[in-house]
Amino acid sequence: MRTGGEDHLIIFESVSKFYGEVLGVNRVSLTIEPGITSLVGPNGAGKTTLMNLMAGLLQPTKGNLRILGIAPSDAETFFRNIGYCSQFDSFPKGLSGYQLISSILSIYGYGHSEAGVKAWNVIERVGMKDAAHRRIAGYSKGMRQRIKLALAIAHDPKVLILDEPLNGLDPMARAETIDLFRNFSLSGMHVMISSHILHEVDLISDRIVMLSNGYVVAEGDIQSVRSEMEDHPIQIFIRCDRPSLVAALIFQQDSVVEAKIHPDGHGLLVATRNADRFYRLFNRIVLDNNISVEAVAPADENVHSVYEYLVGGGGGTAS
Amino acid sequence: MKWQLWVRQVEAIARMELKRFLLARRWVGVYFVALGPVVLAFIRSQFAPPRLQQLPTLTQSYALLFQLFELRFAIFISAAVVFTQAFRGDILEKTLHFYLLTPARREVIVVGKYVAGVTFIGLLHASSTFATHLLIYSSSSEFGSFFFEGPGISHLVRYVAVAALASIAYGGIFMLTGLLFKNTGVPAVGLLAWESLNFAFPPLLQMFSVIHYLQALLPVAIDRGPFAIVTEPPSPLLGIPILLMATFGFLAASGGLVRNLQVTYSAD
Repeated sequence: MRTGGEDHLIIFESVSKFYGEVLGVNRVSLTIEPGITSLVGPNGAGKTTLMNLMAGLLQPTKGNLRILGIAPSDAETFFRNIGYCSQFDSFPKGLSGYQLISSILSIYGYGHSEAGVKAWNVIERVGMKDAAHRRIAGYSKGMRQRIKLALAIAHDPKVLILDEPLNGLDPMARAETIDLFRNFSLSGMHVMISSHILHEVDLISDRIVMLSNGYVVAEGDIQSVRSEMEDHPIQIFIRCDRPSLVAALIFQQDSVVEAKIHPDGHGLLVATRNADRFYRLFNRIVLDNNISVEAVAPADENVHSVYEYLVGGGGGTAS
Repeated sequence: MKWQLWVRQVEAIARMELKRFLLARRWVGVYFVALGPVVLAFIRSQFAPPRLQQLPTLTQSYALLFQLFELRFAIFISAAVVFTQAFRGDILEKTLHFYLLTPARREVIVVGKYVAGVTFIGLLHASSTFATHLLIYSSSSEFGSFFFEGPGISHLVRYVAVAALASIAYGGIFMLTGLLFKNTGVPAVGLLAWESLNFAFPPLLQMFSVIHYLQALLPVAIDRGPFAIVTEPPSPLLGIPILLMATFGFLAASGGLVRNLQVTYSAD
């Protein structure tokens, strides 16, 4: 089932999934490199469907997908490489966190004592040592989330699929979990995250896949996605001592479509269709006029802005 | 090599399922059903008048209790509850993905769950049968001679074996029923009626029921009433392999269905 050259990629080839007549995702074609990839989109966009397809819990209605060159039908190899932290907040009744993880590890073929040691290690890693022998039914939302994460990483997968993994975690646990994801990414793993907290997605993602109504509307690293959106001029915020002079001079360039002076009089917001040309012109203006610049930063080169432009909606979160 | 892995996986799944049978409150009803014949046997042993404590009467009473209560009701109901819920229960509780995300073939998951179910209800009802049998005869003055000189031990072994075989056969049927139907109540009642009215069916149809083969293995026959159509009982050498092969067929069909099972909890 392995295919040469694909053994580090996640590949979707024109994958569609329909639930009866209801569209889950349609004609999704993606090639995903290792690193942290975030799935972003509103409710019903198809994020969970895409994750469940990736995790082998759903079969595509059309198209093919391979994870590290392995098809989901090859269960014995496929699931050794996949760790999935699902959004389902339910657990087998009557079991403790330790019992659940060690029992599941036994199904991977680990012996009783080896499964126990691995379960204990991963429980320590997610900070659940004290509650390990308590029944999961008595856990808080954050503890259940951490046990799900522990279960997803317990067998050392190469691809980690995480559906809303930060839900219910307190700020400290969030920071620790994000660090954990970064470490996984640095070690060459795939970390696929679906999150509705866009500023966190912005912080941790190497690339995004944006979905709307079952279709992929954008994919890639955030800068390249943003630069391809020609209908929306890129906004650049500049803090300097003479914003009015800069505003007057930058209109030499055709691609600058708007310049607004900040109300405090020490900055301006420029909208341009060609950021590279603008930066070259701005450098010349600064040098020629001896302008003191405090900061220059893109104002809408982030997931939130891209999401608003492509999908619509104005909140700080999507779901 | 794969067989070794499959056996380990079946063991691991069965162990996990057994923990759930022992720890979750949802299965309390099954324990009560298995306890029912024991309680009835105890009451009988304590309160039945001496004329009903004679060996021939006791043998007939136990045969009735086993066939009508233990076999046709307790084991049947336990198997229906446990095996129809093997996958359906996990779907309703949204926990099936824990198994489906492991590197186990779907057929191995079916076998693991089946082994756990058979171990659970087989042990429960074999124990219930054992206890009931001893309790029924405990009030008789001929207890010692019946068990140590007469056919007591042989009867006991055959009743326990039939209880275990019933768990195996009904387990296979209800595993498949649970995968074929979302609402398993109606087919379970239909099967209960089929098994209960089997005695009145034409000989050919009688062959398509579990009870037909199990009755033939029992040491004592009971009066099946005026409407019974009497047929030649199948030989154990034929009956046991037929039951085991049919069970294998039900499990193979279940494996086929689980192979294509997808997790869409909201739609289920």
